[in-house]
Amino acid sequence: MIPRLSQLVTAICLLGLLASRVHAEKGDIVIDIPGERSPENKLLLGGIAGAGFLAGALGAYFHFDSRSASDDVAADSYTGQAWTREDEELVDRADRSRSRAIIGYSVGGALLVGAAIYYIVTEPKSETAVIRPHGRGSPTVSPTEGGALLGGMWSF
Amino acid sequence: MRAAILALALCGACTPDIVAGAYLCGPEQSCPDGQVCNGPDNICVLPGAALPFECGDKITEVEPNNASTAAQPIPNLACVSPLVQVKGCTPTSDTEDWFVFDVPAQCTATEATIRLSFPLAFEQLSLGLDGTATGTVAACGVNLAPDDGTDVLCLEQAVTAGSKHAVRVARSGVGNCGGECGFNRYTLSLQLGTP
Repeated sequence: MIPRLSQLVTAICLLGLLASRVHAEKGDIVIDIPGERSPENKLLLGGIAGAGFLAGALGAYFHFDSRSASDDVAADSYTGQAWTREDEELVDRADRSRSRAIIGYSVGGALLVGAAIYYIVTEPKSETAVIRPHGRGSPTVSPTEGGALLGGMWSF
Repeated sequence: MRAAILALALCGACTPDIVAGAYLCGPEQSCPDGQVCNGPDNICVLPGAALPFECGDKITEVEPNNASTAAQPIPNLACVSPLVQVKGCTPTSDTEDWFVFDVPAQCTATEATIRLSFPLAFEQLSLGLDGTATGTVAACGVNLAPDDGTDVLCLEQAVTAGSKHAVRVARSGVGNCGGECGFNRYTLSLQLGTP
């Protein structure tokens, strides 16, 4: 079985995380800080995906237009009607819309795939922070009104 | 690439599927792509099945009637007559046909109604009466379907009792495929009645 790209990326991230944890000592607190996408990255990602959906929607529009024109002249039995210039124009319209639908679907599909690849490639890395309690001292517990306050000193 | 293949598959049904024999020939023998006009019945067929134009065996027009002096008579019309029909043909060698009819002497306030119908696949025909009145589509007074494969010209003319009239059916030179379809069949209908 061939692993998917996303699975590979996840595995690499996990290995990196584990490697960083090796440096943590017993008693340290390890925190994973997930990476955040920059606004520019989100904008670009949304733009590519949005353009993909728009192109796909245009493709669908022309697809239905082509089907409509095509259905208007299609015939599987004697119609009793003459072949007119209007019929020829419908065939031409069906052909034109068919070409546009193919272009729309192709561009839309390519943009959506591109957006997915860009999403994976620009996935921000998460960071690992290690918190080391000072002197390995014990945390302090102070009673307060209606509860208790947990305290201590750490460095990181 | 996959998107393009998928798009092609999705749009595979966007090309109209028209079987041979589904349509009558349009003006100047026009037919869907891959089909041609069959001469005997002006139906669009596959090229291998197409036959050349022919007048057919139901023609009641009698040649020679190519001049007013040789017009074919349409006999026995009453003042209020039933519809009389003549099936005619104008092949390449025949540019016009003439018919003549008499209005009975005892008629009063009589009108002749003449109708000429012909396939629009071949050369258009013209209709005339006595060299003056001309048949028109508007005079037919009915809503004709524009794509039923037939052109119709009509003419309504007041006629006097005891008069003789000549009807001329001629090829118009319009819609003859540049000379390739300079022929046609027609049905001429004539009726006398009160206006």
